[in-house]
Amino acid sequence: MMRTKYFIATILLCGAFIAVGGSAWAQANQPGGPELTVWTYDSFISEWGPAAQIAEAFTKTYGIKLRFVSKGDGGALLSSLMDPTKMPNADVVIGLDNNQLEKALASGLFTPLKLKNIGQIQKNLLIDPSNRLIPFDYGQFAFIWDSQSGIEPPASLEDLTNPKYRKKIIIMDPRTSTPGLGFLAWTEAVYGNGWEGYWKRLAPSVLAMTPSWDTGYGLFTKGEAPLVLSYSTSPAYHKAYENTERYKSLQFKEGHPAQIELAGVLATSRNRESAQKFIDFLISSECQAFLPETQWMFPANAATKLPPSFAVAGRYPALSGTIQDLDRDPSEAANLIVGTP
Amino acid sequence: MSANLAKWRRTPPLILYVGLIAILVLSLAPLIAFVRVAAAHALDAGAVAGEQGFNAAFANLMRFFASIPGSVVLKSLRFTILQSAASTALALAIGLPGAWLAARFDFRGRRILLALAAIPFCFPPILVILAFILYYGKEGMLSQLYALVGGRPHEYQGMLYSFWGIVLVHAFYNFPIAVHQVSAHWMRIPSSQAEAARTLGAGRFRAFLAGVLPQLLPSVAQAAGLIFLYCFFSFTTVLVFGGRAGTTLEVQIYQALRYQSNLPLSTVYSAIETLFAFAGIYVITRKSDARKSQMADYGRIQRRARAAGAEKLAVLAYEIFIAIFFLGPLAAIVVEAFRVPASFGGATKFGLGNFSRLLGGFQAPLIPALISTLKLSGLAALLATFFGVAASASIYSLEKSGRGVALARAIETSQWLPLAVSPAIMAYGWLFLSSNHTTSYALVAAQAAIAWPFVSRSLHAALRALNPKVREAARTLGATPLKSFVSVELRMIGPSIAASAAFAFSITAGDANVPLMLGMNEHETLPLLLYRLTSAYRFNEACAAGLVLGLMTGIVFLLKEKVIDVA
Repeated sequence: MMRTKYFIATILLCGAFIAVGGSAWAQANQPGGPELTVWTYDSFISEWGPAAQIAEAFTKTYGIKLRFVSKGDGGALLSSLMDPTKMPNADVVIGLDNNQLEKALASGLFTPLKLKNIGQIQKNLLIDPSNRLIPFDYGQFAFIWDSQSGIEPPASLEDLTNPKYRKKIIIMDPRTSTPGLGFLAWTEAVYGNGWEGYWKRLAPSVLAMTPSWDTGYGLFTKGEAPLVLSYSTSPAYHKAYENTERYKSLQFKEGHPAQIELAGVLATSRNRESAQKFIDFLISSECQAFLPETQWMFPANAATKLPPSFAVAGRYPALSGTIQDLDRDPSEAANLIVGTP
Repeated sequence: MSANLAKWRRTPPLILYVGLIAILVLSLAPLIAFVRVAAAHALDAGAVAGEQGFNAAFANLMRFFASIPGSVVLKSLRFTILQSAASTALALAIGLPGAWLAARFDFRGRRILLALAAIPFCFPPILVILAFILYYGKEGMLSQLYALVGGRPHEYQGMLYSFWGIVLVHAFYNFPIAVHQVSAHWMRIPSSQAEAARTLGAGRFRAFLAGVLPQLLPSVAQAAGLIFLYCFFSFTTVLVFGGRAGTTLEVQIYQALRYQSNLPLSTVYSAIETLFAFAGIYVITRKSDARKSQMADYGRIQRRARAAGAEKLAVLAYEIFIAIFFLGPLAAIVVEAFRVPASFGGATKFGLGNFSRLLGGFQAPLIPALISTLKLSGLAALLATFFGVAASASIYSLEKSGRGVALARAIETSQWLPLAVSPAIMAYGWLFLSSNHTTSYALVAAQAAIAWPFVSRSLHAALRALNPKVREAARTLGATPLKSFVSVELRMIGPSIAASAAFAFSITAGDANVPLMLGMNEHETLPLLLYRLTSAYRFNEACAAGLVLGLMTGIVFLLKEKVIDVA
């Protein structure tokens, strides 16, 4: 009896000690000097992502620290920004895209920027004339196929609905992730008002609709399905890291829409000067050189040289597509996939 | 009888009432705050210039009700009920044989089997999900085993990301509850009736049906009700595996709150949830009363036979089954935490690589996550303990004095709230109550609100079990009621307080629901880190973080069974 008591008392004391000591330690370790809070999505700050290199180079040059906070995928990122119950406490946002542009600009959250390096950006990527959301990389959506799966590669969106691809495809949730949204834009561009019919036909082929690109691509590389929604540049990753061309991007006859990834500075930021410096750095040729082999996207800066691995990256005929109703369509689409046989 | 005691009997101190009403207000305040804000949203939505006043508000409200996607609501309700029912059935199917063995026989591993009941409380769902992916996934250990016994790995069809995947996780996660609760009851059922039936010529099975089963049913129903409720509110499992199969109401609330910023819609979902939960709780409490009165009739625990012969074989088979399908996945976490996967042509190694990457890699997330978990959940657990002690002591005193029984019942009922209301609603309610909408305050308050009833219920049971003579002795020696309570009763239940505090910490530290719902990535707690690593498919690092979390929350395992019993 007594021993139990002492034992539990000791545990509790230790717990209290750790809690108090820990919080004191955390207070003491509060970073000194200026710091920018950057909201982004999962893969940007993941182990293979560019955040670590960018942070190191930027801090070295400007003496400003960066703190990255992941909000899930791009859809979650925009939702967090638009959350009516909470003001966003970030300085910089990285990872919105062309499909979200209109809604993001209409929110009035972003401030116009004056950037030295803006002249080096490919002209066709500058989709916000007010310079509030700045392109930093781009790519084309495409399905990636595991050539060792023994499954025939599909050649069009319509092919994906073929019964032979039953439970063979991984896509992302258009409510929460930007690739999911991009896929929705793709189907709206190809099928017009008939897109809902297409999603209904597609549903049996879908093994999983994941909340983020990270999860979906992880499932794919773990062998759970032979086809995944990703980018035409994804094979470059496998070339560089695994020296394999097993995973191939597929050209579809309908054409491929592009994703332009955007970054901006919040008007509420108290460090707008530093934040503007950071965006300028993000599009500089020094920083852009990090992107191909971490983001696995094409850099927005025209002067950046591509690494050899990008020889296997596909460039396909473009297709421009937008989402008609950004508030309604993603939920409609997701509900056509969830809970259907 | 001393004058003091007589006085206490007449008028319980005012402070009791104040404290109890405060607890009641605190448990209802976040709900009211949430509904208020949600109603404001519904009334303001789509307000057009020129439209004002009551008519416009009414029109908006109507517009909102018209905009509720009825088919989606029904579909998710159907899925929620279906998966909960299937999960409960499977959990009972796995748990009841174990309950029978543990109730009737003595064997090696019996105590471990019963102690597994702590798992649903002290191992967070996110950890169990991770374990199941590692074990049952297409590249998991089971698939490798399958390849070893001759099957081609291609043929192994993973089933985790489906309806049955969700059911499998739920069933294995919750079956220990069935084992624990049903066996506790079964142990006391005398075999006399079954034996009587047998002497009348009934076969073993008929004798069981006639003599044991009717008396066993209340405890089975109670366990089933509890498991059903846990599955009904399941969130993380469905979020991870249900992308395709379907969504529960809880996940719909999450979608409505986080991605559509639609507070009114989330209120509708949660109201439906709560209605069903109340029905479930009604069953549980009714059956619990029936069970208690039965147990009081039987009194003592029946003698258990040493397992022999065929029974020994049954025990062995059951233990192997549980070890392979349930303990295997958990062991996989430990193995994977130390396995450093091959990269850049290097071979797989065993070592501390995963830990060192979490400790020293980019933004070194492990230590900050550990600290925010200790800080936030530690605080929540302290609050929960404080409220639990205050509530149980007050209810106990009111019961003794025979006054304010209605108030005591109200508090007891409010202890069920966390089981009946979505934690998302609680969390957002506290968010609206906090100044500047600070997420960390909301997290602490919501987690404390979830944990305090566990503390309160187990302490109430401990207080009731005290010998009343000790208390009266203290009074006759001249101690005031308050002093005797503090120096006698409180001291005697000291170990129970410590145990339930640790239990509260386990619940709060492992909780991923509230931080996920609040979308609080700024203060990344351990369960959040685990969720992020798992969803990014960085399994080995996730296992390393999971091991740390498991060691922290596993503290409950060291506690006496009693706490779990009451919970």
